[in-house]
Amino acid sequence: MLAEVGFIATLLAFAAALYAIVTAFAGTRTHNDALIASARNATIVAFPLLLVACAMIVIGLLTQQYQMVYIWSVSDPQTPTFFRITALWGSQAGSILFWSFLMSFFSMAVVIINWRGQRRLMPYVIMYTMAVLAFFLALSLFFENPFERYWILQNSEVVKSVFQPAGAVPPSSIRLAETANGLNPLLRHFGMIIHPPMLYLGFVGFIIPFAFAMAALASGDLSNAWIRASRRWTLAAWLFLSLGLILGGRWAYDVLGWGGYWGWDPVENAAFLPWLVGTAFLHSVMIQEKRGMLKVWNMFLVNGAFSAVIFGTFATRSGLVDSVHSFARSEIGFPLFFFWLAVTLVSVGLVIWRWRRGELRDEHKFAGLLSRESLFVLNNVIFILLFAVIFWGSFGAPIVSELFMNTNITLGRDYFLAVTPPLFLILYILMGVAPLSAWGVMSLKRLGRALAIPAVLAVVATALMALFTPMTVGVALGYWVVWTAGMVAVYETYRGVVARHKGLGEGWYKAFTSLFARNRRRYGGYVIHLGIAIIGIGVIGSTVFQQETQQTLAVGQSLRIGDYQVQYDNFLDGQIADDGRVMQIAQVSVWRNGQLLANLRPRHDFYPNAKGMNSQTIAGAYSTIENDVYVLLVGWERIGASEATFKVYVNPLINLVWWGGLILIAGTLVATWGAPLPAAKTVPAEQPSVKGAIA
Amino acid sequence: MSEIAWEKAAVAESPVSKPAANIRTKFMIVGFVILAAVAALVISGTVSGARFFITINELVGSDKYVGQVVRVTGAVDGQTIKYDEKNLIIEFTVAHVGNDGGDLALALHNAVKDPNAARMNVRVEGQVKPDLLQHEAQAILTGKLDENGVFHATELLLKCPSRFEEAKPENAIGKIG
Repeated sequence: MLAEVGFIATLLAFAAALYAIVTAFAGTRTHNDALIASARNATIVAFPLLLVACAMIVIGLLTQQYQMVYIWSVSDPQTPTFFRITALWGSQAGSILFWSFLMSFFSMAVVIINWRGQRRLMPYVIMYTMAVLAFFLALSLFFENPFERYWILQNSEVVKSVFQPAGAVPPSSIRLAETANGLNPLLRHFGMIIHPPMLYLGFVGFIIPFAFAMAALASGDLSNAWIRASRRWTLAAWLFLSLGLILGGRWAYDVLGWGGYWGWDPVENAAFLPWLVGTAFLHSVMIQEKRGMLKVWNMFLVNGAFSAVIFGTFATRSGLVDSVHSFARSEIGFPLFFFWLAVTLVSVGLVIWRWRRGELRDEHKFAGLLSRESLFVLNNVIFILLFAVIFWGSFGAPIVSELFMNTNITLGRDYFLAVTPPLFLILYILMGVAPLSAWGVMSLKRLGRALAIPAVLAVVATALMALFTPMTVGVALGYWVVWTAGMVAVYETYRGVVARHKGLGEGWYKAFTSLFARNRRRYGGYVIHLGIAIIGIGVIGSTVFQQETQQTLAVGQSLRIGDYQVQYDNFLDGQIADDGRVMQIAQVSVWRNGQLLANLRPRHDFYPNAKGMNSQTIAGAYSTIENDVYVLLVGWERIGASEATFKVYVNPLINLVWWGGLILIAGTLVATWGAPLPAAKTVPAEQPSVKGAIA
Repeated sequence: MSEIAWEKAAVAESPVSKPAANIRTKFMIVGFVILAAVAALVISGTVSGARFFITINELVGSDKYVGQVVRVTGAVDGQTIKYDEKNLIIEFTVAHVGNDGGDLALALHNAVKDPNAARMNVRVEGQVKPDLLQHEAQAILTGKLDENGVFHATELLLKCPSRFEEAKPENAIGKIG
């Protein structure tokens, strides 16, 4: 019953998407408003249909319908309720349907919110978003069907099918429950539970600005309407993507037990690539809005964001990465590739067509090397270069060597650690300098004067850090650059508040809040910059100054690492948790200068029912802003555990990475929400009065 | 919009108009310097970071790769895993994974079962035994093969195919009743 309903709902959503494409197209051709309205309704109806489809899987998971192949493979009778729900995106078939579900939510929200404001663009937005949705639904219907069930034919062959084949019977429910797979233990972590949906929301969200851009090209409305309409969607997508990346890092840190959060693994990089293009786009689109420049570049960037999203989905979903061989292996690889190719060809064709008709001509010329627009272009160049070098290291080198050199070359962490830091450093320099420069022309002297105070503050901050932790000149320089970028954000906000306080006589709090209220994008942007700077300081600290040691301790003994002492106190053997896992827990205390700081419980979990991976090492960590003491239980005497072996890391400043992430999120919310509606009625961007408003 | 002038003196005091060609040259120079620097970084990074990804057959079949840092992939034989947790030494054997027509889990399963598949002993020092190191996992190893045929891995990556078809649902479920 569940499987049939879910399958039919998915099929109907697929039909609705196709219908929307056709009617939107016909409606614009014939100028028939009724047809376009019908396309809109079809777009909206896809969402409830997919809600039903996903609900069927969730109900199946909760009521343990193991006859459904997907449910059999991601859950078992011991799986806790919470993880049953999240198992919806625990594996391939479910997560593709879930992807479509989120996509349908975004496309519904777009047609509802932007319908009145952007009537001319809407039919094309519908065509593009529904084409993407229809494609992903086709993947669910024809390649990775989450509604398939096990059936036993009369000749006792087991087959997978949504509907009951003639004469077939369902397998015994007891045997199904006994053999069900259970969720991979690694995925039982809050970070892993929210991480995929956030990432998908980010991926899906970037389809919206892409659809608006293509709608502008197709409809010929090449004003800034598409940018205004899609701006918040872009910011929302960027927010989710950032959140997804941060949560992914947190998950790796908590669960993978190597004391780090970013391993330059190709799958991680595949999720980072859309973020890089998206961030470049967020910046360069402001230049178009304010100065009417970079129109063609923005079109290519938004195309690039779309490609990176499809590629990211593909790379994280298809197992491309171990070896390029998997490209052919994965069932969804080729359909995805051809879909991407088709959409990209159409889109690039549209850009070139409008370009050659002279409709994407810039309204201003570049006036000086230090002008804000030039620095933004430089920022874009660096983002795209970062994209290129990371893509090359993760995917380019393996693919090229395979195709042309008849060998397979991969690049490890060393490559990324050598190539990316200089580029990140340039980005931080630009982050410090660009907000201080002006549109048009800017002199070096003026820029230097504006930069002086933040730069001096950064020197003080770096010197303070060097007092506590001796460091090389290179590291100090890195800290200084990142600090300067952060200080610029803080100092500019401070200057704005002081100016309001003095100029308008507002109280400090009022001055602060109305400063943000008046120009959310600019000051929200500063908050984001501050967050990124704090993340940067955390990354430098935890990468350069990480300490590690491992030792076997008898009960009562302790080991030293840095200023800390870690003492092995006791062992709790074979504790059984609610979900049936068996836990071995070491009780450990962390001391510094003779003072007890914390009692930790690093442990080792064993899942007796899980197939495949069945054990997990959970670190105990004592966290302060200054340091994380991260303790792993790596071994113990089987009887009595009078001795146990620990691996201990001290990770300085690592918490700044998470705190910086929270600040970044807060800044994005400020920039996204509650801003005055992007009204077409206000002054057009070319008007001199808005020149000061950076965005 | 109500942007207030004192928030940012946005327009520079003296908008000097320079010839466009001059600006263009400057942009070209800056762009060229950046591109050249990044290209140099990428090339040196690629040369020093490149690891040949080869199969176990290729590695054990000749002494071509002895002493050279390579990456190799193989299927872990669970019965051979030895872990000295005090000194953090992991030892195990991996088998050559053949072509399998699409199913990684099945390929790993067959590789470990096949008595004729090329095998190689692996030694990893100073690392905690990863949770994923288990029977029929795919190991991706970076390191060097020594003269005695032992592979000293400095990096150990493990993948358990998430669709574990090896569990053979057909066999498990097939019996009616």
